[in-house]
Amino acid sequence: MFGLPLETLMLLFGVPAAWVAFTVAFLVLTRSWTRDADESAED
Amino acid sequence: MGTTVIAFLILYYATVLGIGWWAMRRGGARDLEGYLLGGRRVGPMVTALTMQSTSMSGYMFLGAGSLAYTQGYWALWYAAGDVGGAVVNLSVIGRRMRKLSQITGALTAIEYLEHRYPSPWTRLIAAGLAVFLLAVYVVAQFIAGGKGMELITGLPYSLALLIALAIIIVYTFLGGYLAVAYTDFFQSLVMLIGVLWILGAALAHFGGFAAGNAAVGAIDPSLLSVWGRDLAFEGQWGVVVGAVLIFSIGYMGWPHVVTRHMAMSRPETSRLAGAYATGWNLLFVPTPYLVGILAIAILPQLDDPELAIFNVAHALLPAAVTGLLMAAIMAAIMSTADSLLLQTGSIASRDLYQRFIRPGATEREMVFVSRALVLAIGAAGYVVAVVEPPTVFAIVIFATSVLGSAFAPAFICAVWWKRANTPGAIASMLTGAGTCITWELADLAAATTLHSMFAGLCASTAAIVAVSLATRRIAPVPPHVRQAIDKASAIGPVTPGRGGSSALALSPEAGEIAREIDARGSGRS
Repeated sequence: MFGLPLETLMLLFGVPAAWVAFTVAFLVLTRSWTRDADESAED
Repeated sequence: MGTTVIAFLILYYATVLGIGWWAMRRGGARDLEGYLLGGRRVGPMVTALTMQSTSMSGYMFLGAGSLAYTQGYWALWYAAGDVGGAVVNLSVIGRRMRKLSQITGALTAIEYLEHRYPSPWTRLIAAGLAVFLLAVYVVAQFIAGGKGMELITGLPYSLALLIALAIIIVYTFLGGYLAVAYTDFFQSLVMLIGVLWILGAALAHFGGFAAGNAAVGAIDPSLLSVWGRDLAFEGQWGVVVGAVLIFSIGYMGWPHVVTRHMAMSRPETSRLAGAYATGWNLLFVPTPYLVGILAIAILPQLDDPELAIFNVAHALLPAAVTGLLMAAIMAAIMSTADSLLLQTGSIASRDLYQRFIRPGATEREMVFVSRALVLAIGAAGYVVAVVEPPTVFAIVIFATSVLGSAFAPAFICAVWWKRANTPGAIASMLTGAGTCITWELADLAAATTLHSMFAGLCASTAAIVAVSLATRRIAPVPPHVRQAIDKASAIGPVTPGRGGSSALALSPEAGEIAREIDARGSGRS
């Protein structure tokens, strides 16, 4: 695909996909952090 | 292209200065916590983008393009870690560092380390290392700015550098974390638009991504592999792991980046900030590398590979668009340089001058010292950048590798391992920095096929674990620190630190300053 070797494709698209999965997992697993909310104002 | 491009640049500088002035008017410098941390009220979007624009320096437009131009797709190993660097940083230490810094009343990243690992030596060693490495790092930004201005204006490099430096210093003097955060936010958007525009032009030049790769492959097929030109790095996994670690785990050791955790409005801000940062990174991080790779076929005979992206913009885009792109490049440089200069000045003045030389220094004196140091660092950086400018890539890799090796285990263990003690943290900082510097200076990466970052990080991690365990009886972690770590890890609101009893116990000088500011405020009103 795109004239690139498989290893290069994995590096170009596979690694970012893994980071997306990591981020989604982080959001799901840390829902309880909302109970940390304190008095602070937000900009 | 002169007039149009310069008009864009002037418009850009005016906008940045306007945002900075507006942010300051909002009260960013109302008190010390406001000045250094924006009053700890920065939301997730601004946190994400100030973190990323600060992390993504002139390196992305010069060093990344150069590496890709010379080594092809091998360069993407650096992008591989970089895409996830922010979410790793925010998920691992973001929330807990925000809470622990507030509980202990720490206002700088180095002060935070002293509160967690109580000893003047912690602060002295950490501040010394940080000031040296951040100053080295900022030199790279000056060189990048000078080269960019030289290309844009046609002025000689030394004069172009002087102008770029003057603008950065004036902008830095606006001061205040809130001003820096909001200008960074704007600059991150300019950077994103700019770099995507160059990539679009490069792809249009070839008629598509596949055609571009075919043109690069026709010059040298090994450039399409993940092992570099002539497969020079084939099988060197130690170098690969180091390249990935620099910009993934390494961020957790950069004082000017982890300060962003301390300024978040709430501990949970790190969740959304992580998501926004990943989104921005997916679009931004790989792009300069891809432009550098395509530049191999667009401009195969470049004298200076660090100017690959500048020259692609020159070659393919009309002057009006080039002006926007040049503004983007200057945005990347300035958004890092202002944070580095502010952080270096803050650490040198607060963590060295006030902590060890003049504990009774007034706030006015502190500001004067901080600005004088910024000027001194700027002047020294100018001399280095003019007399013998090393490559931006070399400096950035050196400074960021040593910063990450020296500080990442100390920042991570600060919130995740209660048994990490003061001797362990000091040993970790010295061992990590020493190993990484030795690796770089002796060029041991070539001999061992291990990246300096990988070697440094392994050494500093081993040091904090081994020394903490070996000295746990003679240097136990104080009970109030263990309590603070427990509070930081627990779910639930924290008690604001500054002015609180624990904060004053841990940070008497912070309390002094707070009282002085309060007294001045009362006096004025």
